[in-house]
Amino acid sequence: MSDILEIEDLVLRFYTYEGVVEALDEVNLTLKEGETLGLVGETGCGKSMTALSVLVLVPSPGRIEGGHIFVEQGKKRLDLLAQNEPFLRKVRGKDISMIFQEPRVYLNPVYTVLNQVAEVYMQHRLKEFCHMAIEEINNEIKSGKAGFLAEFEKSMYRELVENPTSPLLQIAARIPVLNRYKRRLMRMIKKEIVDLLKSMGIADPERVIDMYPHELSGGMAQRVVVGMALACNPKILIADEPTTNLDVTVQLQILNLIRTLKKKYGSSILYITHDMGVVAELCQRVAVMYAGSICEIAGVMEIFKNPLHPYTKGLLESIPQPGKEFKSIAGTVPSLINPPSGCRFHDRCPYALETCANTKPKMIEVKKDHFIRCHLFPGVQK
Amino acid sequence: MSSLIETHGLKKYYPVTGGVLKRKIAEVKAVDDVSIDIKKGECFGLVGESGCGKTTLGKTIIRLLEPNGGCIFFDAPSDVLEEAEKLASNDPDSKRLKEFRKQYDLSTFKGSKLRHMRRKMQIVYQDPTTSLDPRMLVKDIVGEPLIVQKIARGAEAKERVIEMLKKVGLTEKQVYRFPHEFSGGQRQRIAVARALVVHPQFVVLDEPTSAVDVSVRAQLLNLFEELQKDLGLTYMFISHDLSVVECTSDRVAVMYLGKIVEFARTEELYKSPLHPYSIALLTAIPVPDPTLKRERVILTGEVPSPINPPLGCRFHPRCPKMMEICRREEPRLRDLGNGHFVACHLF
Repeated sequence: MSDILEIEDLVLRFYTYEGVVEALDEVNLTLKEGETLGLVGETGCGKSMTALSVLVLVPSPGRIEGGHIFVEQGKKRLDLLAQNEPFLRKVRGKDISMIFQEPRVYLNPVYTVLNQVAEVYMQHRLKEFCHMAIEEINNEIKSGKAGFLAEFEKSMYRELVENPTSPLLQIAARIPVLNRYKRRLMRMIKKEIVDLLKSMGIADPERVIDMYPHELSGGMAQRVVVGMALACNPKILIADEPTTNLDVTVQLQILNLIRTLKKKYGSSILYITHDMGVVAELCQRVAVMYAGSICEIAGVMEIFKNPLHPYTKGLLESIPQPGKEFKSIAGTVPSLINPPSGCRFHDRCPYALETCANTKPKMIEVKKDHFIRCHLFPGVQK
Repeated sequence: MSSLIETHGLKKYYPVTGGVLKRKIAEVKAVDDVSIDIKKGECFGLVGESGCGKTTLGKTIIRLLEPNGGCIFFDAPSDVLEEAEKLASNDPDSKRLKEFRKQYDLSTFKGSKLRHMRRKMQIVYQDPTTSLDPRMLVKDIVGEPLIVQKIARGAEAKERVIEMLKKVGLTEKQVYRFPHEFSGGQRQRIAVARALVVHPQFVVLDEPTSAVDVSVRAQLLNLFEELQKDLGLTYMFISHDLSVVECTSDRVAVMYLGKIVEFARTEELYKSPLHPYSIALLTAIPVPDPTLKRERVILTGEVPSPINPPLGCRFHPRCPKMMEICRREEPRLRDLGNGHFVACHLF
């Protein structure tokens, strides 16, 4: 399996009035082709920021200060952080797309489902649809069903493919009869969206596409968002806690949906969550994050059977189990404005050594495919 | 063990208004004919999907919401409860029943009598960032119930506040701080201190751990357990997180669209759930064990609107074991022995 996404030494800082927040501190992560990688950690440990960095969508006042994000593009390896904005716009939603946490917030309340999902197609698959439209018009002309504007319509679509910014299109869009050419395009996109929503498990998509987001239930809205993310068959799908605000029964529906769609489209998924149960269900590999750095990466069996990092152990122990006492990690997540020196976990760590407070541990491979960043394991203290 | 709270056919309907005159056009049956009993000193769990009426039930029991029907007996002797039940079924208009209700039924209390009862029952809300006034000091937040209830004032109140804060794991120094200076877990501790400062007998915990992280959640759950032992509290633990309820509660009720569908001791309910909805709900929990392969019941569709609940059994449109009778008749909550109650035609 080749690496489809590679995050290398990513450093992200936020410049706020209170000080510099060191949100991400040399994050290294690889996503292999066709796998589901779980990224777990507590609130504020930088999970979502890692995801947003991959799309180069870090909100202000955040700044990516170092590192690379490599993506396979065709046969080349491209560093996304070195690309310009127009190029990134082509990548977002097409090659890499994201499912956000709150579907109701993510969907625009003043557009219907149809208009929002159509935007993805307009942005990324416009040419494809224009060619389809031209073919349809040609067929109509051949069979003699075409209206008197058919030739004009065809020329408009050709223009749209060749030169989408031409003034001719802009003028035509403002003239009542002439701007009808877009109806054909919308009709084709609508058909495609109905199919898409049907494959998302929405019962009657014809009715749903004319609804506004507030008319949808939480599970339904999340299905629409998943549909939008998968509209262009992305190679990489980033799911940022897509089921956190849903009920367990709906959560199970969405997890099953993601699983079947992954099989169908063969995407690689970076799944962000704080629920260890979901990780056990869905992921092949797990990366555990704490206070802006990754502390352990291993296969899902290995993480649950043989966790090595003290934080991972604490995280697994704090899952309530009947009959056992609740264990918790002492203290709270530190502020990232002045993060603890050395290992960021040392002040909460029950096994902390003297070196932990002074030097930052390096990521090492203790076993095959089991990486850990901790001083407790020999070979790290170089 | 005697019951602390017993409800008989408790109802809470919200009106839906519409039209120019804002007349009532429909009702949301948030809590419909719920009869439960909560024993002294236990932790009573209440689970269900969002919008099924869990919070409404919790609030109605402690009279933060006005019930539309039914009665809530609070701390009534068991012989009174027995007699009241008999009277209610045989002779609902009898004088004796009215007397009982006047004496023990929370839903008939008014004015200063109700205010006095509020001392005995408190609530901890879901999100401490919104349930604590951002412009009040911790001292005032926790001390307010004492002043309202005329239990203590001034220096005495402060003393009791500090004592309570220490009990929930905060320090004396934090008395003169505002809520925004605390972390999520600490804020929830303040909310707990505010609820417990009047020494209540009964506390409704309305999803107290859903707004905090996993590691903090365990700390809070430990705190609840300790306080229950120390102060002899009775809890009603409302949550949608089934694994938390499993660890904290002695008995659990499963709610669906305003009705209790199943009700049993925790071990029994989690080991052998009977109602199809409980089975689906329990198998839907993701278990943190990648080796485990389970058989699952996947529900299709979503919870129907409580304005127009399905006729017959409310679960029948989503039920995998639906029978003909489910469409027509509403099942009653039946005792299957050993304190296991189910409302389903299958049994």
